Order: sequence, then C-alpha cells, then structure tokens
Amino acid sequence: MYSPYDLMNVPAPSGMPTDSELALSCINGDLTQFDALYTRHLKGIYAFIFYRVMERGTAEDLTSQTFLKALEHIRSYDSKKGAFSTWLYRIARNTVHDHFRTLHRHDDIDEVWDLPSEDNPFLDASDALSYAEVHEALKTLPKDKREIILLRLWDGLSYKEIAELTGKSEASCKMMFSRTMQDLKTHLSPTLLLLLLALPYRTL
Amino acid sequence: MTSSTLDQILSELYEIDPDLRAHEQELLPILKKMLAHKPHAEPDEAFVQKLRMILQEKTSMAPQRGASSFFSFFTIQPFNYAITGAVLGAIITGPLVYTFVQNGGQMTLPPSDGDEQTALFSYKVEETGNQAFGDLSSLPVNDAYGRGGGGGVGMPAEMARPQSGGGGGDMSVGMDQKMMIAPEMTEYRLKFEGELPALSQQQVEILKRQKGTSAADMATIMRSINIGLVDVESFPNAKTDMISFYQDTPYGYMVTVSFRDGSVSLNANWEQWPHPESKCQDEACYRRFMLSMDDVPADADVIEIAEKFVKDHGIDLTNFGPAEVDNLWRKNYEIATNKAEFYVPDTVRVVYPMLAEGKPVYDEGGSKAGISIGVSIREKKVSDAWGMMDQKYLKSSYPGVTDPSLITKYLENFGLMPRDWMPAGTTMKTVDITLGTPEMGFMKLYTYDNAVPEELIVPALIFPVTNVPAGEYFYRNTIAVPLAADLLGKMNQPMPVEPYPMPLMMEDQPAPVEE
Repeated sequence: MYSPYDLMNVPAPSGMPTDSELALSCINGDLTQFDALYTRHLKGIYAFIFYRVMERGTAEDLTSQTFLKALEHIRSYDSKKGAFSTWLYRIARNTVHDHFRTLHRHDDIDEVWDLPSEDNPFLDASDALSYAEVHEALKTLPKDKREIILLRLWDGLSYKEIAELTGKSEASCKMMFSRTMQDLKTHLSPTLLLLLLALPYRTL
Repeated sequence: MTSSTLDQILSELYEIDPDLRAHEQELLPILKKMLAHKPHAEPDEAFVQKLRMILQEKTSMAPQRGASSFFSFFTIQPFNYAITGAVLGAIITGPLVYTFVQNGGQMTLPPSDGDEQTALFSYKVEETGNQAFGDLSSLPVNDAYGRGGGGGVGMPAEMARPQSGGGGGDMSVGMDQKMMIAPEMTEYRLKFEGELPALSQQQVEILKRQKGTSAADMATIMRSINIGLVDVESFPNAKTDMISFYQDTPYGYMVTVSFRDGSVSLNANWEQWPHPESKCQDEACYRRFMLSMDDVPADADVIEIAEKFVKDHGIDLTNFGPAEVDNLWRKNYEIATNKAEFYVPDTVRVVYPMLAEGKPVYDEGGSKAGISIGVSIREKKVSDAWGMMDQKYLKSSYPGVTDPSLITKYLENFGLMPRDWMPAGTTMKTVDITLGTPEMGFMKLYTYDNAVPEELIVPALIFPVTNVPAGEYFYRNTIAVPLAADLLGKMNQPMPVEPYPMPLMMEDQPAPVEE
C-alpha cells in the first residue's frame, strides 16, 4: 500500500511540469494536460473520498464527479490562491458533503460514523476487527477533531494543506491535532486503549 | 508506512506541545494503530481506466484552443456516471471515418470539424462471456521461451558465425575445433524454496488484444489519390493494411502504421543517418569506430533522450509505466573473458513497461513488455521505437490456478533439457538459478491459432531471479508463470520430441569425420 504521505503532495516527476503549470496549460486550452493531473491525484482523491463514504461504488461515483467538476471548472483555479491539490481536495470534500445532503439517509457526513462498523462490507475479513477498533476510537471524537485526524493520518495532508482545505489557520490545525491526540490518549476507554496496546502492529 | 513518517508526526506533535514527549509510549501505539488500520483504499484499475477514458473523451471533444465556447462543452449536470459512461462509450465505439486528402503531393490527416480528432488507436476493454477465447489448453502457445530456456545454447562470441548473432556463450567446443563435435550443453535448474502465495482465484480474467478493429476503409483513404496505374476503387471492401511515411531530411525517420496489426513503429531513415563505419575497408577502420563501454551514456541520459522524443512526438503512454533502461546486455559484458573485444551495442533500449491493473506485464522472455525505444549511442538520438499498439481488448474469465503443484512442476521443468533426443556424447552441465518471492503481475503470451499470432494478457506470478552463479549467463531477470489453469496445464505438457538441431559448422572448416 502506498504511503498516505504521497497522496496529496504528489511531486512532479523530474523534468515534468508542476501541477500549476499543467493546470495553466488546461486553462489556456490544452486540455490534454488534464490527464497528467488525473494520473497524479486519482489515488489520493479516491482514498480521501473512500475514507469518508466507506463504500467502493459510492467512492468511484464521487471520484468521477470530482474529476469531471474539476475539468469543467478548471478556469476557476487560481494558483495564487493555493495549490492545485488543495483546490481539487476541496472539490472532493464538497462533493462528499453534497452526496450526504442529497441522500437524506444521513443529514450530515458525521452520521456515517454512527453506522455500526460491521456495516462496512468492503472490508477484508482480516481487517474487520482492527478496523472496528479504530472506528470505535474515531467515533468518540467530535466531528472537527475526527476530520483533522483523518486528514493528517489517513489522507497524509500537511498542516498547511489542511488549513487551506478547511479554512482554518495552520496553527489552529496543529493545535487541534495535538489536542485530539491528547484526547485519544486520556479519554480513550481503558478497555479500548488496552486493546490498542495489546494487538500486534502491522509492519510500519 | 515508515518509521520516519511516525517520527515526523511525533516531532510535529512535540513541537506543538513539548509535554507530549513524556507520553510517547502512549501516543506511539495509538498512532501506529491509526496508520496501520487505515482502510485499504486502492481504486480498481478498471475504474481508473474507465474514468480516464471518459475524461479523455471529454477533453478531446472540447474545442481545444481559441474557441469562444471553450468550456461550454461541459454541460452534463447533474452528473450521472452510468448515463455519461454509456453515452461516452457509444461515442468511443461508434463508427469512425478517417479521410486522407492529397495536399500538394503529401498525404495528411485533414482537420475534422472543430479541430476534433478522435484517436484511431486507443485503450478500451470490452467484457465478454466466460471462456470466450475458446479452449486455452488447445491453443498453440509459444514454447520457445519456455522449458529449456534461460541461457540458451550458443557459442562463445569469438567462435560464433557472424550470422548467428554473436552467440550466447554457453556451448563450449572442446578438443579439435575444426571438428564438428557433440556439444557441452547447459541446463538451468530453478530453485525456489520460498512459499507460494495463496492461490485463491477460482477465475482469472484474461485480456485478448483485438487487431484490425480500427482498419480504415481503403477506398475512403485512397479516393482522392489518382495513382494512375490502377483503379483502386475497383477493389471493393478493401481495407488499408499499412501506411508508411518517411522524412527525407537529416536524421529523419520512417514511420509505419499497421492497421491490420493495430500498431505503429518507426525506424531511422537509414539514408539520412550517418554511418561512417559502413565505409570501412579494413580492420583498423572498424576498430576506430568500435564503441567502448565508456561511450555508453548513463541511464539517466538515455532516459532523458527517450523522454524528449516521447514528448516531441506525442507518443501515448496511457497504461505504460515510467521509462526503464534495459541493461540485460550488460550481463554479457560481465561474464566476457576478453572485455576489450566485447561488442558494445549501437543502441541502448528504453522500455516503458505496459501496465495491467497497475501492474507490469512481462513477456515470455521474462522482460517487461511495453513500448521499446532504441537510443543510438553514437548519435545520442532515438533510432527506433516499437510496441505502440492499439489497446483494444476483450476480457474473459477462465479457471484460475489453485493447485500450487502445477506451479512447482512448471518451475522444476522450466530450464531442464530433455535427455532422450540429445546427440550422442553430449555432456550436460546443470546450473542452479535461485528465484525469490513472487509477486502478482501479468504475462503477455502469444498463441498461434490459425497461424495468426494472438496476444493474451494473463494474470501471472512473477518470480525474480535472485542469484545466478558467478560466470554463468542466464538471460532472464524473472520467470513468469501464468495463472490460467488451462494455459499452465498446456505448458506443463512434455515437449514434443524432435531431433535436436545439429551444431553448425564453422566456416572454412572440414566436414565432420565419419566414425
């Protein structure tokens, strides 16, 4: 599995144009350059969406929507306002929110976390138990804290990127992450903490 | 996830709140657990390609430059993936009409309406029913790279006939070299002592490349050209087989588009490239132009030349991985006893490996299949390129290999030579080749049903060659084992017994002595 730390900050391969240059080419009419942007960011965007909807088909649908919206609105991207990746993740984030709003099944993305963890048939059997524990731990967190944990640990975004994406300051994001880790450390149920400590880790 | 990632997160935390350092033993397991149990979120390759196709179609159908309605093309709202996919799929597979026109004696592709151009050769996978390609066990597969393969049987380079291509270096000729004698042969015993991965796939999906599906109607192409000698329109229903064009300029190329094969290849236009060595009349002249290992550019430089060429000529790398230099030829140099006389090739090859479901596809020789680009060492330019293919495939399910003994049997027999038809007096040397832990990948196999080569892309276990004894030559980096039960069963069948070809005579040597 690829590192979450290569998802958003996908560096331009040596000698290849940067995201901003590719986006600028698209804005100037050479839409063929969008393919390179797609290649660079697909995995990250897919994973970002998947972690939030926890269902493969929905993740594919929303990923498609995200890239089609990005292509459609590429002219609205302004490199002076931030990285292309942040712009793309913002589209993905809004797409996920729209999805939950439209569904009526959940009024808010937050409620997907209230689903019992065993309702996630996408999980491999071997992953189910471990995931259930992590799910339980995340469920105890307030929505904004949970989001920052996901953005930092699973999506692998830097604090700067998280700040751009969420509209918070970088310092505030750092502080929130730190406090959330404190919360996890001090408020996690003793049973769950013991469970986390006792289970063997995967190779890290 | 690496420990450096964890260290980075921890150091960031300590920077924010130094007091947390005292709680590292509590934080570490939480962080590790969070990171390790991140759900697996790898997109399915079929989805990746489908979405890529949709995006490419949208971009190719949009007016490209300077049009006032530049972005008005994108009007699909609200988005419906299924409908959009179906509509765009219909556009992709719809009838394509290509027209060539005569333009000042040159054949050019005319700009289509609104500068739109749909690629004739493209990537597409079409699902078919189960076992749609017939009985795989009855298909003749190319066995030339299979059992008995590896180092091959050849002669030391200094003894090889010039037309034999230099030889492989495994057949030594002892005693009187003027006599035709029974050879010493080398066979390769594959040693795999690891554990095979679980073979749980009851069914595997096989791709078969479709050829000729994009053949352009000949009359449409030729209608506007008056050849004069023959009326081309008098041949109804004719399809265009091939188009070649060339650049009559220094360092020009000749490009061939094969509609029947669905491929594009190019070569240096020989007349337009300098070949000073070809005018040599004596040994000293030849030696003056001989390349040495010092002439071979660094891999990074070779790749840079290839990359520029790919970019300049718009070569489509969809479904191909990053460039790699094929350095297999260096193995010959490593074992050559007389390195000063070693023949350094004129070209170094760069391969853009073909990918299936994101994994590399290997050819039957254990090398990565893909687009191969030759870089001339003398000229530091690309001299040829091939492997650019129409990637339209049919996909069908076949029973997978679930019995590991089929794989071990294949490996055991892979490099061994059947003894029963060896020339009398043959001595056999057995070299042990060590294999490492296999990875899942794909294998490109050719079958020769109806004498027409067909290409199959089959899931395969790729065993890396991890050790070759010093001084031995084994030309493979990997051994690919197909995971389609019928195919592997076929390849596990005993080789047909046929006479082993008698060794070639050296030029200017007497006929063998009759015993």
